[in-house]
Parts: sequence; structure tokens; C-alpha cells
Amino acid sequence: MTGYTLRRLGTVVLLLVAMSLLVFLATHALPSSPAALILGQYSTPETLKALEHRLGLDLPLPVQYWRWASALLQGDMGQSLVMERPVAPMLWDAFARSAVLAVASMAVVAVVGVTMGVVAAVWRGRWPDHAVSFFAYLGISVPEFYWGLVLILVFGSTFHLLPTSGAADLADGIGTYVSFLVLPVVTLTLTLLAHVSRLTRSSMAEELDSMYVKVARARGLPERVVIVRHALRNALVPTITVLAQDFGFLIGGIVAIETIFAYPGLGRLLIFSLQRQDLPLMQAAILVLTAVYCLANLAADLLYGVVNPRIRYGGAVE
Amino acid sequence: MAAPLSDAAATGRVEPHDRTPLLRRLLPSGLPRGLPKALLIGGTIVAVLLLAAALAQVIAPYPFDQMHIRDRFAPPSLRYLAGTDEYGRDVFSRLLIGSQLSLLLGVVATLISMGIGVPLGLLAGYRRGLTDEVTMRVLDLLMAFPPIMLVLLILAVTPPTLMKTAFAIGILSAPPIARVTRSVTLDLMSGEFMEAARARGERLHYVLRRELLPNVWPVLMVEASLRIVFAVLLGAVLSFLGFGVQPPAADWGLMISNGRAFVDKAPWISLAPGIAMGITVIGISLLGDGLREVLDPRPRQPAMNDVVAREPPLLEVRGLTVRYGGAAAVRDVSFHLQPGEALGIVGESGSGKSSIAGAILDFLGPSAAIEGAILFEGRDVTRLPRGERRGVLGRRIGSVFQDPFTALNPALRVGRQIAEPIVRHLGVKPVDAARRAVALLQEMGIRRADEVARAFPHQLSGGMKQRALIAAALACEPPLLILDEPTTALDVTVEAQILRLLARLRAQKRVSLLFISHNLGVVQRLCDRVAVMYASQFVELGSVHGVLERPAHPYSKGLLASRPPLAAASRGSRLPAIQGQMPSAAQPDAGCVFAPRCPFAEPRCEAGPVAMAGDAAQHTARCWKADTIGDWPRQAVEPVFQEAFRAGDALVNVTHVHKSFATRRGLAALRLSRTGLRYVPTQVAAVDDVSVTISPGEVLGLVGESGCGKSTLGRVALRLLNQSAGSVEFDGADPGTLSGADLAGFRKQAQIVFQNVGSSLNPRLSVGEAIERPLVLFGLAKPGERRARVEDLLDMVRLPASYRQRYPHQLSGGERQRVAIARALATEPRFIVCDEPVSALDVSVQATIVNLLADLRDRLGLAYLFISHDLAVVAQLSDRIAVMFQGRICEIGTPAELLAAPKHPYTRTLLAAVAHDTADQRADFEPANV
Repeated sequence: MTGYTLRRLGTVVLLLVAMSLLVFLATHALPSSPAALILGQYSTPETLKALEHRLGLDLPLPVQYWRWASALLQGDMGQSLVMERPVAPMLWDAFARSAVLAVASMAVVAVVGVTMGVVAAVWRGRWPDHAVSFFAYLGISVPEFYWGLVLILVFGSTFHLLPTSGAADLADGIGTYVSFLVLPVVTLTLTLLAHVSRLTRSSMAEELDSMYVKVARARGLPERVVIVRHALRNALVPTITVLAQDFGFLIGGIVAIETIFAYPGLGRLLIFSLQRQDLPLMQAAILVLTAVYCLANLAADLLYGVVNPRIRYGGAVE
Repeated sequence: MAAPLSDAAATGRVEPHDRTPLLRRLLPSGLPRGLPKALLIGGTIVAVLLLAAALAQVIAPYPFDQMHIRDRFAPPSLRYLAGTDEYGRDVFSRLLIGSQLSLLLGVVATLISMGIGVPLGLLAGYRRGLTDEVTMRVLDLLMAFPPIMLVLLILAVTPPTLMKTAFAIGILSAPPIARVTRSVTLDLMSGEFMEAARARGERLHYVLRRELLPNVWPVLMVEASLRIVFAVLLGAVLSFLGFGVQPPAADWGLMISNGRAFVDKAPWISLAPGIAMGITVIGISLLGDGLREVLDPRPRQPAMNDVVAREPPLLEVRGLTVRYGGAAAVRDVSFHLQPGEALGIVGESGSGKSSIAGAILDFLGPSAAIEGAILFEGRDVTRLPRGERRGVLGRRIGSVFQDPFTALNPALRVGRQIAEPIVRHLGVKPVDAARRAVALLQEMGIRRADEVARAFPHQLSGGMKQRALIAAALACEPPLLILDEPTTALDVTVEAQILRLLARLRAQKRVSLLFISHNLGVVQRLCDRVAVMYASQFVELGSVHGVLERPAHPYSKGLLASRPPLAAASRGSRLPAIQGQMPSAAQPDAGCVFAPRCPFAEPRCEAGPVAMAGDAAQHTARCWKADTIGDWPRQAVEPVFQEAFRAGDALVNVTHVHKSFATRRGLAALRLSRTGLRYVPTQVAAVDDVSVTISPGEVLGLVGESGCGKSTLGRVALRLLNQSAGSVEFDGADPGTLSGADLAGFRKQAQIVFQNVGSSLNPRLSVGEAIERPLVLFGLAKPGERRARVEDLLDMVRLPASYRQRYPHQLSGGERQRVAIARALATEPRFIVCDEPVSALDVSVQATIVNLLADLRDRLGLAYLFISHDLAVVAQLSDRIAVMFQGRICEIGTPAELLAAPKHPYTRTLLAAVAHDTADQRADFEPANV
């Protein structure tokens, strides 16, 4: 298990290095240079050249990468070109807000999605199964921002039950704080629920058909024990991997959801930086989101090792 | 715009001359009758959408950008079906035009991803090794990026256009497509029909085009439908964020985005495109689900069925019938089992024997209709409420099944699985139950029982797993133990140990056994009475000695006669065989179900139902003339003397061959040590210093247990695997040094026939195509003569010429094996490696194939390397037998020498384990792992 963990960690480090290279190179292919952006209407060939020199933009690419990466490792993410403020503090505030959204959504998805999947598998071919399938089809059939719009229409514009844009601080009281989270979290949850419940249903159905489940029943164990202790335990293994994958979709979802609910998180910051071609902000935002995704995958792999005894305990007993 | 279905069809490269209907070719064996509803509904939705998109300009009531200033924000009405937007543009017309953009994006992005992913996946799966490793790592890297980041990154660099968005999404979808393609390819590569293609020396492009792609692309079609959905949805998100389609053009995502500002006032502007998108995605998803159902039919779980309770009987089964739909798997079966008694039920696959066990154990799903009574300890268990019935199982009835490899829950420790029923049924505390579990394992003859109890199933050998399962079945000391083929998945020496264990337990614990098996020899060693089952009915029931020594029913006679005796056979001898095959849906009302295959049949046999006759307490049989018929006819022995092969004139000469496999390589082989990172691949020797020769026309039998290296040796001899050391010669030349025409010449002369009748034929090639291929490849027949030659070959393996047009799923196991033999014969070989060619077949079918191989040997002067785990089968056919153990040949000699005076201790163990009539002969040598 230790060797496994170390190998996984090594892979993550390699991945992050590759990502940073990719982000760096891609952003350097942008049509406008940061110097031109800073100068705006005052840009002349001379001033542009002078500023590019001051910013180090005329150095060879490997040198520029080295400077950027080593500063990054020291927590220095540079200066936002548009906002003219250091990137790091801005990013961490936004990150914290997005993390609240993500964690809340994942928690709801994991609990509700797995339960729905198990219910559908146990009552296969009967109405609970059909209900879950129907819900799943509905959930995946439109992009999440569309559900956001529908929810805004119903809970905001029509009934005025919940706030539909912005975010509150904890200082505004816990009720207010949570009320701003409800619609974005529900929206993010809808699509992922569909995915997780469908997958849990199929892996659960497969386990319920397996020989060891028949054997457990033939030993006279009650159905509840057969389902929870035997089948579910094995069915959860692939579900964990999918939850990690879904984290990637969640990041995509957050970008759109934060835009539609005007939620001041990392996704909105990223879209802002892309629209304004704010290079340092863009690089930092993409890298942070990518790192989070890698770590989520790492966590899933390690968790997978814990629930799968083949990885946790190798070797044969003689 | 191209329909996704025809695009996928194009990648399938259906040949123009191929007149098989397209859908037929799409559908593998086991096609369910009628198409799934999802396919019909999804297909209809998609067709309508495509039509609407294609004709958008024609059917749209207004040009998409025409403004009706006076009708701004008009709600949906007959004039504006979906209302108008802020400029008074007709939303419905815009939806239609928008569908073109959204669907085009989906299809183009998917085509791009397939264009990248499919070749990569095929390559990685086909080449394996380093190519695979590198490709997968690169794909992992790509997939490690959160999907939307990659697309945003690409689109941020330059202003977005539809094609660029499609390209970005296409790149993103390529890794999953490559992965799916690779895993299907890897799966197929292990198929024996692929190995047969390599044994013919087929070139890459043929293998890809005819063997691989037709199997891969149905899976790809399903995947493609998912990818289109993904692209359409992601395209909408991108448009919504302003990185997709640019105004004034509008796809659905942009329309939803535009309507956002007016959600209060005119919600239809956003809602209408959302609904359109929902319908599209549901349509494509349904189509994909429908395709998956049609293209990927999982074999229906075979159902199982019945037993119940004279002191009074412990179990009495009365008139048990099990039906699935209209077909009866078990028909009017009655028997009883006394306390302490052991009853065997013997039958071939499909006879319905396992359904009897399933009915008693309540395994049969709701699709099975059960009639009759199963009385256990005086109660009819079929009438008990579910909870009460569950209470009987485990506590009063223990059960052990065929496959110990899947019967243990992989996630739970072995000890806990044994302790579970003790806790549940006897109310013992978990700690004490755990101690009982260890004691039980000890009782099963496991030495380090505490260690085994703490182990997970994957850490145990097959024999140990089965011991643990028997321990679990006996945990609550039930009076009845049901065993369904408990030793079939195990090697013969392990089987012998398990049988000894069961015999001991039966004597010690006075437990009754219901023992279900296809193997008469095994039943004979363990049971008091035996029932013979044929086509859902009992055809004979009596004491083991009575039935096995004086079988009354013709089927029992035939079955017993088809067993190869454990004795050397002359070249002229053939096994008695039962012609024809078991009917799958027999109609006993129409007369004796065995009559069509019975050499004693007369018209009266088919006049009406036949009842069990004889002394009910002793021996009964379902045959009205049982008292008058004699022995099963022996086939006429026609000694055909081949030109004698002479030793030393070797056709195949294998000298000091070693073959090892890496068990750990790639990243997994990297080890961190004090001196830094080191590459430490682990090797295991499969073949260890083996030398054998085979003369022209000689049959060398190669016998050994699973994992002994016998199959590896066969493949090295054919140069399907390269040896690690030593030399292989065929007809005086090393095939490893041959190339071009010489290599093709070798491929033509040396062929292979496999064990697995399920995978040795490509499911998508007809019998005629499969047999014709070698004729084309080696230019053995002119186009006009091929058909006649294929029919000759079919005749040679005794199949009718009409079988040319059949597909493998329409054949029985024995017939498939005949086709595989015909395919090997098509190249006119001199040498054939027969790798367990009869192991997957029932006894009666096995006899016909062994006879066929003997006939071909004599008629064509073929040399065989005949590989099998079954010493009796090998002795029947071989001129010499080599015994293989742990990678080495431990003994080699003529069948007469080997059987009469085995020299090596392992040969003696093997002989003891398979000796039919020496039930409890003690072996003085046991493999270390059990």
C-alpha cells in the first residue's frame, strides 16, 4: 500500500509539471501580449518593447517558464493585469467560495445518488427503478445552466423564495449564507445525480447477479444483509472512481453555474480572466482548478485501494 | 449532414458484396426477439430531428433573423409557435436553424474524436507492450485535465468558430474513445480466433478489417452516441459562456443565454431551446441505450431448480416442473433423499440438472414458474414465506457451487464469510463465530487455518477457496448439503482431495448429499444412488452400482460407453458415440425424447409419453423395452494402418526450450532502493528446459494440470510465442528464421485447434467465410472451386454442406469444434496442435470429436500435438504421452508403458486421481499448494 501511494503521488507531481507547461505554453500563444494589454491605447512600438523587456517577455521561453514556475512555488502568482492587484489573495477568496459549493454538491450527490442507484437496482424493473431512470434522463438531457435558469424562474422570479444571484458572508448570519447556496448547489447536483445514480444502479445490479450474492442468500442471510454488507460493498468500488471523474464535470459546472448565479467564485474569475485576456490570473486559475482535479483523482485512487483488498493486501497465503 | 448511424456503419466497412442485411451483421448471437423500445423511440426522435435540421430552411415559418418589431416578446401562439424574442424574431424558426449548428457540432466533434481515438485504441490494443504503455500514459495525461479547462484554453487562444469548437471537443473525447477501443481490442486479442489468424500468418490489414473492426464497431456506435450528447451539451455551455457560436448566428446554447435577461418577462425565449435540447439529448441517449441492449446482450442467467424430503425422507421432490416462458427446464421430476444418503444427478449441459438445485435453494428468479412440491423435513418449502424459507437455507440446507472463484465475496475476509451464517442462524457472538470458523477450516484439512481465515479470497488457491466454501456450507451443521458441480472448475488432483474430504465429512457428520455433476466417475465415488437426466427429464434412477454396471436406459448405456477408458487404445479403435444432439425444447408428449438418437428405437417409441418403469425402490428407467435391449453398439473397428512413422525422422523437434513471462513490468517494475530507482521485472518460467520430437503422422499426447505450461509449449512449437532459449525445428528448419514465402509455407503446414468453442470462431464470420479464408490466403483453390472445396472440408468433419451459411451462434459446441477443425484442415497441414480440443464438450460429444480426430489422422497422415488435462482422452488417441508438471516434462512413453508402470511420482498421482474404479486409492504425492 505504501509503494502504491508513493507511485500515485509521483504520478500526480509529474502531471502537475506537465500541466503547468501546457498552461504556460498555451497562454503564450494568446494573440495579445500582456504588455499591449497594460499599455492599452498608449501602446507604441517603443513603449511596448520597453515594457516587454521590463516584464521579461523578451527572454527565451524556458527562462520565462522557470521564473514563472519558481515564483509560483513560492506562492507568488503575479499581478492581475486588469485588476492591478496581486493574484494570490484574490484567487484564494474565490477558491474558498467555490470549494463550499463543490463540497456541498459532492456530499449531496454521493449520498442521494448512491441511495437512488441502490433503490433502482433492488427494485429492478419496478416503479422505483423507472422513477430513477426517468429522473436520470431528465437530469442529463440539458446542460446544468439550463436547470439554473429554470430554478431562477421558479424560486426567484415567480415565488421570490430564494436569492438568485451573488453570495453572502457568514457574518450576515448562517441562514442568509445558506440561502445563497441553495440554488447553485441544487443546480450543480441535478446533472451529477443522474450520472451517479445510473452508474450505482448498474454496478449494484451486476453485484446482485453475482455468484457470491446467490451463495450468501443460499446461506440464509436476510436480504438486508445481502444487499448492504455483500453487494453494496463491492458496488461502491467503481462508484468511487466515477465520483472523482464527476469532480471534473463539477468544475466545468461551477464555471457555468457561478456565471448564471453571479456567484463570486473561481469559475467566474476564470471566465473574467479569459474574456479580458488577463494572463497571470488566467494561468493561476487554470492551474489551481487542474491541481484540485488531480488531487481529487488521487484521493479516489487511494480510497479505491482501501476498499479493494486486492490492492490493499497483495500476495497469496500459502 | 450525415446521420450518426450511417457514419458508424461506414467505419464498420461492411463489404459491398456482403448480402447479409446490415442489421443482422450488427447483431451478435443471442439476438433478442423484437427491438427494444428505447431503440425505436430514440431512433424515431433522432430521425425526426435530423429531418427537421436538414429541412430547416424549408419548414421554418420565417427567416431566422427577420425582426417583427411590433411583435416583440410575443408569447407562443399559432402565429409564433414558440413566441418571439426581444427583437421580435420567431423563436421556433431560430430553433430550427439552431438545431443545424448544435447537431453539426455534435457530429463533427464525435467524428474528430473517433478519427483520433479509434486508430490509437486499435494500435495500443493490437501492439500491446511499449506502444500500449506510452499511448495510455499520454491519454491519462489528457484525461487528467478537467474537460472544460482544455476546451477553454484552446478557444481562448484564438476567436472561436464552430469548427474550432468541434475540434476542441473532439480532442477531449478522443481519450475515452481510444480507451474503449483498446479494451475491446485487448479482449478480442485473447480470443482464439485471433490466435488462429496469427497461426495462418495473416497480415495486419486483414486482421483489422475482417476480424477486429466488425467486433469493435458495435461498441463504438454506443460510445459515439454518448459522445454526441457530450459534445452537444458542452457546445451549449461554451456558447452560453461566450466561447462558442458568435451572434447573429445562434445555436441553442446561445439562445438560452440570450433569453436569460428576459426570464421574468418572456421565459419562452430560454425555455424553448432548452426543451429542444432536452428532447435531442434524450433521443440520442435512448438510441444509445437501445443499441447497447441489442448489441451487448448479456447471457441470461441460467436458472436453477428443486429438491425436498423415508425414515421419513429428509427431502422429497414430487412432480417438479420448472418452466421459463414456454420451455420446461425440468419436467415432472420426483425423487427422495434419506437422512445420511447421497444422491447424484448426472446429465449433460442443458439437461436441466442445475435447475433442480435452484428450485430447492430459491435461486430461480421470477421468470421461472415452479410446479410440484419440494418437501424438506416434512414442509413444502415452495409455500413458505420468503423470510421463513431464507431461515431454512444455510441453517438446514448447505450449498456449494461450481465456481469457487466467484462464490466468495472479494471484499470480505474468508473467516467472516464462514462466520456470518453462524452468527445469523445460531445467534453466536461474532468473536466465538470467528473461532468456530477457524476450527471449521481446520476440519477441512487446511493447515494454517487462522491465517486463511484472515485472508481475502484473492489470496487463496482454487482448492482452498472450495474448502472454505464447504466449511461455510457446513457451518451450521445442516442435515442436507447440495453440491452443484463442486469440483468441475478444479484440477484432477485437487478434485480427488475435495472428493475425499466430502466422503470423510459425510461419514463423520451423517450429512445427506445431493450431488449434481456431469461426471459419472465423480458421482460414482461419492454417491449411493444416481439419477440420469436427459432433456429435462429423469430417464433412469437407481443405485450407483446398478446404474453404472447395468444401465437400463439406452441414453445411460450410450453415456457410459462414450467415456474413454483409462487404457491404451490401438490406432484402429474408436469410442462408441451417441449420434445427434440433445433437443433443447423436447416434447415428451410426442414420445420418448431420446428416440431420435437411439439405436434401439422403433416406431412404438414415438407413439406416446413413456413413463418410468421398473422396481420403484431399486432401479427405474424411462424405456418400455429396457429389459430387452443389449449393450450400446460398438463402432466397427477398422484398423487403418498408416505408413509407420519412424523415430528420429522428426517433423517437429523441440530442444531444450525455455519460455518465461514477465509478471511485473513497466511502471510497476520500478523499485525504490537505497541506490536509487531500479527497473526490476519479475519473470516466471512457464516452460523449463523441454525437449520433445514428433514424427510425421505421429500423435504426441501432452498431459498436465492448469498452469503446467502445456499450452505455452504448443504455442512455442507453432511460433505463436517465441521461446526464451532453446531451439524449435519444423521439417529441419527453424521457423524463427523463416520469412516471406517460407514462413507462409510453415504457417500452412502447422495449424492449431483450440479448447474454447465459444471464442475459436469469429462471431461475425459465417462458417463458409471462416473455412474459405485459408484457401484464399494460401491460394489453395481458384475462386470458382472454393465453394466445392469448403463443402469437401465440411464433409470431412461430417457437417452438411448447408452449414456454410450458418454463423457460430447457430451451432452447438461440438459443431463449432468441427468447423474449427475444418478451418485448420483447409491449409492441408501436416501438423496440428490440438489444445484441449474436447475439454469444453460433454462426454457424448467428446467421443465423436475424438473419433473424428482419429479418422483424420489415419486418412490424412496428420501429426498431432494433443494437449489435454484428461489422461483417458489422451491415451485414446496418442502414440506416445508426455506428462508435464511445473514447466517440465517429467515422463514420456507409450500409453501402455505409462499407464501400466508410471515411473514419476506425479504421473502416479495423476493416475490415482482419474482412476474411475479405484475410488479411494491413496496418493503418495500431492502438489504443495493445496
